[in-house]
Amino acid sequence: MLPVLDTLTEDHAAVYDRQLRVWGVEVQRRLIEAKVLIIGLGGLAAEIAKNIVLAGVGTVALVDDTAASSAAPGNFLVEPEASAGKSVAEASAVTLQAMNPLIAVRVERGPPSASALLSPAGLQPEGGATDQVGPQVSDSPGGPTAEDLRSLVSRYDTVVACGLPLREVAALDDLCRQLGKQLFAGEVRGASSFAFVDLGPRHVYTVKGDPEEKVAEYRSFREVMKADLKNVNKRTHPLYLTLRACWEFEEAHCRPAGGPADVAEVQAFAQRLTSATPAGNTAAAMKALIPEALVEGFVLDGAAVAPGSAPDQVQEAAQPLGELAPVCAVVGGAVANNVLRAVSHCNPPLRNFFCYSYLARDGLGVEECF
Amino acid sequence: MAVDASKWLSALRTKELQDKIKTAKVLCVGAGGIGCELLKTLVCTGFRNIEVVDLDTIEVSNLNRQFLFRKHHVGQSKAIIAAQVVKGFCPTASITAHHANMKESRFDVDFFRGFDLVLNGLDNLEARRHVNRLCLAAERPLVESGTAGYLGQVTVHLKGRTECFECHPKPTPKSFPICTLRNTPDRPIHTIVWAKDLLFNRLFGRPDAVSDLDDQARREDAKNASASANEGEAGVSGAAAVAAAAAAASNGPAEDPSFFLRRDGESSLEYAARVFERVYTWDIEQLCGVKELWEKRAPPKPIRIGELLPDTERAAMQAALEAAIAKGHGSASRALGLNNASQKWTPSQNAAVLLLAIAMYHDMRKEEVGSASFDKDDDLAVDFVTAASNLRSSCYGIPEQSLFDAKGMAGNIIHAIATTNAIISGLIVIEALKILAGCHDVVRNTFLNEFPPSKRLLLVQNPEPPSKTCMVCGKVTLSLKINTETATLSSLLSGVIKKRLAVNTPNLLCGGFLYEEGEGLEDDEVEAYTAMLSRTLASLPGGGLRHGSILTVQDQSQHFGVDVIIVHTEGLNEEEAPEGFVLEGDVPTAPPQEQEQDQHRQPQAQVVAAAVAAIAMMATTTPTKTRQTTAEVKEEDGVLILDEDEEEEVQGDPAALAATEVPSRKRELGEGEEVTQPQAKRPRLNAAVAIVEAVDGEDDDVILIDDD
Repeated sequence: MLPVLDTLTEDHAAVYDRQLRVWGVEVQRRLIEAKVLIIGLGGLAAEIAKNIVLAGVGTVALVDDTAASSAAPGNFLVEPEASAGKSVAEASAVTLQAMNPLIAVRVERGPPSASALLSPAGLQPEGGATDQVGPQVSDSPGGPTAEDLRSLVSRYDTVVACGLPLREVAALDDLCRQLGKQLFAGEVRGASSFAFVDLGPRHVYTVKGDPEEKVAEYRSFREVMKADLKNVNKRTHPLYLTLRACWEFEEAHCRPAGGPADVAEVQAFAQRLTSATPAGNTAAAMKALIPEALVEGFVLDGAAVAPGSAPDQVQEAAQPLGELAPVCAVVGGAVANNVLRAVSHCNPPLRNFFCYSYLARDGLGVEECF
Repeated sequence: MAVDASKWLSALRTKELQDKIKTAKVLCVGAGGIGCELLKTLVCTGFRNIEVVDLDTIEVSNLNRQFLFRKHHVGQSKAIIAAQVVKGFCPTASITAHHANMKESRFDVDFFRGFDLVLNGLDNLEARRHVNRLCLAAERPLVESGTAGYLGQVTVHLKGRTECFECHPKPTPKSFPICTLRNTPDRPIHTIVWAKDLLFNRLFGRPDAVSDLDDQARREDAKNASASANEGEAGVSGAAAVAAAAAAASNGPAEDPSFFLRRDGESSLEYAARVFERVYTWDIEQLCGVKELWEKRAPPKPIRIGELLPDTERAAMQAALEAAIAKGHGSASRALGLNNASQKWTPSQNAAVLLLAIAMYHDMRKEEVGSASFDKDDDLAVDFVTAASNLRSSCYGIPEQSLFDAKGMAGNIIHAIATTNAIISGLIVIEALKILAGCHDVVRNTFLNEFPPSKRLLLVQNPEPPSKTCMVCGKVTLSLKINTETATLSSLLSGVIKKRLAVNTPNLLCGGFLYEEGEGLEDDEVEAYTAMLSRTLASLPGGGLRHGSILTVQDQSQHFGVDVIIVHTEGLNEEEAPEGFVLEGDVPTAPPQEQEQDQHRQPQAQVVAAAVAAIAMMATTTPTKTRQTTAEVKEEDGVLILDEDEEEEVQGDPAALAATEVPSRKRELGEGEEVTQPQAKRPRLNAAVAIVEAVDGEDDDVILIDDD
């Protein structure tokens, strides 16, 4: 075993040897000091959690009260036989802790949601239902309040939220901005996935080999969802407009778009947005900017099946694919790399969207900035 | 293409593909960095029938990314543990593990035919080439991958449709001339390789390991000397004079290997001090005397042990040695309190570590002296190499290295992180799904970069069609059922090679077996070959032609080449095999294409070629590619960034791409270096990358080559 590397212990040096050769002792030390909170442990979050635990982020906390027996199929951290009676967060924590005994893995109580942050007035979901944790939790007296979430987030440096409705992403982002915390939000819907990054108005970082500090400015999720469409061109990844169309749907209906019944309306939002871009003035250009199959897939494959659409009436073709594992692996790897950059303040992190779909652009993975 | 593209968009929603995923048989080659991620991604995608092959066992340094493994698994089979752990979270998956070398004969063409997909997560070029050939022979699709640090790539190889893994030659690993190592090192890697391959073996290794090198050095000298003779009197042969003088300097009493043996009654520390004086004082003084060597470079400075370690400290060394023995220390540097592996040692500390390491070898591991080989996980060996190379570096004014960096260089350690392997596993599975869906026109090669200049983390390219001149896939592969225990080489030549394949002057090659006919052979060669004719196939030299052997048959005069896979078959009956064998496959009728076809390859192909070639660089790692200085890493990691003045998507029609002018400027991209975009034209990143999750840093020895 190697002798101690600065303040790293021998155990650290032995286990982290190969990555120390990638990012060095200083970054490793900052990772060990970092505290990351992960909300919602589906397939994408499982990938991100695995990656940052292996990298040696010192404290990783998990929030997902869902019963382990109902874990997302993509969450490979839950061992069915060893997880009876546990929550998804608890079962995942056991595996993550075994994966890296040199760090602390914690479980924080709460649903995989930020719905407590949504202001109660005028935001009651249609038909009394939304995503699986929806109103029951926020209405129930024992559920987390906005204050609980505030106190939770304030104990960590960075929040990773996966699979939240877009309005919850926006509300959580507002909270993180207030508290000066970093936010990563992402979702995998079938073949498509996005990740959003907000490291606040002034993220300071250095680049390896250059002592000079650099600053990156980030915009809030709300701003990004209202960004000027004149910057959208034919090179912009179509998922950006798709996401904005879903955002507009959610604003209008107070619930996320999901399932076949919502496809047409999201398509209509998408077309309106497209026609407002400089490049979207012809039908052909519009199709290029935002392929219908992509929007359709994104809406159909929402991780949560929209309530009210009885499964037996749904055609085989309209069955939601949920989170596709290979997409989780790709985007989970990309997001984790950027969480590591963000918490170590070393190298420029993603600013501020990562878009990937193997249905668009041949599977090009693109960073977009809005 | 359009048909496949739209089919692919909806393929995953079809029951047809979902059923195929459940029933497809997948071969995963490798259960290391990529393999662990791949197994997980496969079962989470719904694959249920997987076989995994890996020769390796688990090490502590794997645990930062091979996430299926725990500390208590260290020492166990990667394949077996990986299968076990994956079944833990996916009990319905059937995973068969083989703790074995992929090159074993049981993994033959028939074995490969049993799979629908072959997915590679390998760390060495040799195994990659082997799997490539078997996939071609078995006509099974291969998805090939590799990673190094933040870089990675996935390529798809479909026989007859896309390039095979070997369509473009891989660069040979970099090697160092012995005389540079012995006489004129000028980079840290030179002194490290000297310490590891020359001095370590001289002191602790097998005697023949060193004498091989001595032989090679003599050959270099002889060659240089004969070169000078040919130049005649007019040429004052600098090279020859240098060679002769250097040989005289280093081959005098110096090269008497017995000098390096410990003498009777000599204490281990006295012995170590004698070695020190010999290597860093006497040898260097001798070399300084060879004036020709130092006409264009500064001569080295000898160092003296008395200056680095005064007598008082030498006494302390004895105490340190006794304490190390008493406590059973494994490391000389830690016994001396040098606990910070990333801090460079002073010359005195290097001298102390060197003496103590030599003494500890002799006093604590005596039984290994004379048979040891360098192992990067052996702390004492790493201590020795670090100190020995640093002392030599200080003689030559070369920057010294920390223990951490020296270990990386000496052990060929390729840096590796989990995220890259995870991303690559996802991309492999996506290509696998396309193949399974029958959407062959939409398969893509994908390249992953750390800081892509145009914000494209993942870059996709159309795979090139097979190279017509490829020695591997451009060639026809046949299978030959024959009884290798009874059939002779003579009957193979007359019945199969000359009669059925119409080869005129055959050249047969298979591993260590070579048989040639034709003009230009020496008499003794003809005699040796004739003597082989009556031998049975199985008893031929080089292990024989046995079940699974791939025999390469060539005829230069005919521009003809074919690979024949031997299928040992007993009891062939008269009816199906009247000639005593069955030859299957498309027996070629026309000679392969001429060379110049290759010149019409599109520039785009070269981009891919460069990237794929980089794979090989990484695959056969030598210490040259490990860290030295940041500047050197750029080149040696084989990371190439190729700029292209090309605006459209790379996915375009290859013909259109061919028409695009590609300046093909190459730049190396260093770790953490942001690529600056040329101002004048809009550049599009084009790939390239290097490869190989050489997870454990194969300890391939450096290849030592001739200087001239």
